[in-house]
Amino acid sequence: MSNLDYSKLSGKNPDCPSELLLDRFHGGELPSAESAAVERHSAQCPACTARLALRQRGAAAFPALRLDEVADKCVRLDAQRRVCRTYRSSVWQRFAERLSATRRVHLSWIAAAATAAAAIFVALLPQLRHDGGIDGTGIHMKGGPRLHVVRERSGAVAELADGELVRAGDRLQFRVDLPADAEVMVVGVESSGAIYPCYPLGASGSTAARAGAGIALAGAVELDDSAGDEYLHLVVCPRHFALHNLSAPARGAMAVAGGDGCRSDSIHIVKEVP
Amino acid sequence: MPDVDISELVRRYGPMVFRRARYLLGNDAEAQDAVQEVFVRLVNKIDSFRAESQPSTWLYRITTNYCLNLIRDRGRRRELLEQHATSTEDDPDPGAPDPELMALMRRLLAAADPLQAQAAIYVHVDGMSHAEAAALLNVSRRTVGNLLERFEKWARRNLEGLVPNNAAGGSNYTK
Ligand SMILES: [Zn+2]
Repeated sequence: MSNLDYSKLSGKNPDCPSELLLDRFHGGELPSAESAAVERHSAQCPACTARLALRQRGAAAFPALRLDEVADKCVRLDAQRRVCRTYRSSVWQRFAERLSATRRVHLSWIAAAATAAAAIFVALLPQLRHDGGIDGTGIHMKGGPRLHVVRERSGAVAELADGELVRAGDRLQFRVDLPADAEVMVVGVESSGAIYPCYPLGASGSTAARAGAGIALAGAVELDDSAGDEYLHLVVCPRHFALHNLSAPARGAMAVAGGDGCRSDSIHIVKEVP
Repeated sequence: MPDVDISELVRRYGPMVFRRARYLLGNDAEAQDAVQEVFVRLVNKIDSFRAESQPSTWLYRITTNYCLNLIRDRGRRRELLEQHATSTEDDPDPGAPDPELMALMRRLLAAADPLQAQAAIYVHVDGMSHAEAAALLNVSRRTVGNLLERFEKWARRNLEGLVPNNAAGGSNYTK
């Protein structure tokens, strides 16, 4: 044996379209002249008629194919990829410890000068943002839920102001002020209107949180290198809600279907072009 | 395709990727893994994928690279490639290559030069024209011809040392 008969390998006649050409035809990706040629051929070629019929059956043709599993994993991955890449490092760990120290300071209403980190947070709490859905004046309403986004860049830690520029590699952590125990979720909204979960990371719905000020939500996210601007929203409801109940009717706005008593707070972040 | 969500892309293109991985690898379980891997790569490049005017072509390229790497890893692990041959009786795919010849082809692909192997897959397994293969490989048609010529010459030498999986398949081989 010194040769392999390649003409028998593919099992196709030389004038039959390739696998790719049939897939492109089936997917509507061919220019009209090419598409018409494939259609003409297939109409008089039983083999190609069968090959097209298989494509029309989709996943049903292959019992071993589990598309739901693939889709689930991809949806989770996609959500994480956009803003959110989980991140751990000793620098971040130390930062998280300082954050929890800050939180204790807030909760006990002691003047916040106990640590250098606490001083940074107090100094950098400009009231530029508004409590969405409550008041259109741009003035933060006392007692509403608040979303604070804290950024760590090259070891320097600061709270982000509304509209502040961020860049790839910045690490963000969310802190919230909650006037009462509630169900919470932090979501990002891309300029296309697509909504994705940031806290809980990759989740399909809200999670319970206790009342308090400056509560650090678990996990940190690292920004990827896609350019653009996004809104981050804290959504707070008295009852559990699903990601698919949320919509962004306008830039910076957030609505919850059936969400009586829900409130939100948002921050606009603008990613620098790399 | 702006704003088409990931689940919809998986539903639309998943069967195509599976069918192709299945006949390249000869095995349902590995084809399922291939679908997962290919779509993970798609998610990581979602912005460029959405801008792609020929999504099927893009997915063919990624699927080929993934499957070829797997075939080569198997070769390195000295696994018996023929044990993965799909049974022909329950194969629903009328476009799949001849299973016995494909098992032999895999043994060649496992050891061949990677670029020559890709050209051989596109033309000999998928039945593409040299022009189609050239577009996928980003080379000229003439280069595709050269790659195939070198692959076939190399294969002729290597086939001397390979034993067919099944003696009954002998009629498919020419001297
Ligand atoms: Zn045909």
